[in-house]
Amino acid sequence: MGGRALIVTLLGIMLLSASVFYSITRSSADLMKNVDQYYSRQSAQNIAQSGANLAIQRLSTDQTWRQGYTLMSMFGGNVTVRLVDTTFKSKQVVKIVSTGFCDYGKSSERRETSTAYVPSGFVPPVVRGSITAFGPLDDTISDMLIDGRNWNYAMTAVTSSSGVFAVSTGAAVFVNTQSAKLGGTTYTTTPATDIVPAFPNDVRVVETNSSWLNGWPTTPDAALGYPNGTLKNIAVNKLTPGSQYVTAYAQLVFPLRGVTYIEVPNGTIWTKQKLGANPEGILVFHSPNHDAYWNNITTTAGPFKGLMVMDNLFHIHMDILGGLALLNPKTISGKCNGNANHYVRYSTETIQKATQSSMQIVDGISWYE
Amino acid sequence: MNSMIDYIGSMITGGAVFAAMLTYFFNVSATAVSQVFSVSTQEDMTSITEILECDLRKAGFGVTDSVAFTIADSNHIAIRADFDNNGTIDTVQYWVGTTQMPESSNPLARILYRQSNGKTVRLTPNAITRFKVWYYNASGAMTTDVRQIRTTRIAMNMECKISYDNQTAGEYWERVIKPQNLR
Repeated sequence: MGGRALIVTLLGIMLLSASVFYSITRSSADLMKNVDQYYSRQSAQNIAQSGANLAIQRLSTDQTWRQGYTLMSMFGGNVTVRLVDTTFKSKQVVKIVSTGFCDYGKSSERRETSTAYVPSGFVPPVVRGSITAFGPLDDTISDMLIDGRNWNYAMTAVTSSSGVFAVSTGAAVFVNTQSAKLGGTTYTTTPATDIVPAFPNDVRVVETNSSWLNGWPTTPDAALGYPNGTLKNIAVNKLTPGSQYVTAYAQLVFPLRGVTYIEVPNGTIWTKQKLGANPEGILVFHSPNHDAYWNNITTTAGPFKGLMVMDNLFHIHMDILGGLALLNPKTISGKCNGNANHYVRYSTETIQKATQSSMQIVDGISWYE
Repeated sequence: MNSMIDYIGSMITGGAVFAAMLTYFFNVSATAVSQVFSVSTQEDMTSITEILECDLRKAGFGVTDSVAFTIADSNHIAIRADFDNNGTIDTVQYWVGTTQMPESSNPLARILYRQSNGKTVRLTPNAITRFKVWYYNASGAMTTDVRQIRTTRIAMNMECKISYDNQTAGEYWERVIKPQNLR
């Protein structure tokens, strides 16, 4: 073989080698690209999940928050979160759609979506009036202001045409014995009409002979539509912030928050016990025979905001924003006045706020991703 | 005489260089071919794991009886969820065949199947030489009780169905997945 031929041969081999090298380099690049894409997918997924969790956290402190986020920077990517009110499995939920972006706006952009259905707070069907009871309420309301119109949580405004009765009772007759001012919302007109509290009261803000499909609830759980033992479980295990389970007044920790479940022996009477300052949440006062009786209740400051579910209550020397339901059909009667400066005002927002966190325990959050 | 020695010497040297170049060329070519098979296998692995992860993350979505898995075997998993979010609970299963994959000479090679609402598809043309699933309860202990499963760990080995120069491209993937609906 001549020297020239050898050179040509070597050049040929070098050319082929270069081609093979190019192939190897391209394969390596493909391998790395594949790894990059896997990483991007995972990052986008993590960002989407974190965005949803952030929104859930925000919702737990502000139930009305629906603004969401738009392309917020997170973990080297971006997240967009939208919140809408909808129904899921026939229940009211807030649907959180969180989209995580990796390399947003680039050709390598990867996006993943994480959807969470967060149970909304709700108004239990037992709340038919600002004060609801199966027994007579003639004396229980004393001379208070009982307003079934739908107040907001800050108590600065009424949402029109969305309230309830002032009082709802299973008794056949209601007599406003002590000149209480009663107001509420009547659905006998279209649209519903809000009625300002007054005495003598408009008869449309009072419900008598209220009937219940499954009978009057005898337990706090039944009143809220929860499986039996749910509220107690939340309180005992402190599953929502501030929740507590007590069997004696001295065990109560103030301020009341979350689910406060007070379980006492049958026939217990508490007299002139105070609820502390600015109590909130769901307050249960109950005995196995649903005959626990709180005689004369006050707070040390501010109104109670939320839902009170008690076996029996008389002498309400405090303000309530939300609702009150009495489980014992034998409500207390007798003279009780001097409460004209106190109120019970219905508030959907406040009751939803009270039931929101417990709903998440009961139904959990559903994730679709 | 001297020119003859030069000529023979140059032939030997040139031949050796040529042989070395050829050997190098063949080795590099083999590497290039292996790389191509590796890329193909890796892409296949990421594609099917994306499907698998997507299904597993939905486990328990819309399920009201707390049974998010109906089969929890080491090489067979059946996941229950409302996969298409239409209000109906579906079941998706993954399992590997029990017999050797016909196209492969590896006696461990199996076919990976995915079944969704009765329709069965073969997930990859490549061979699965290992598909193993572990199940853990809320406290992190291994369990086979379908009601207690909160976490799954899946490991999978995939081999390219074509071998080159007695070498087969392979990939390994392992992942712990905690479906959010099972928390």
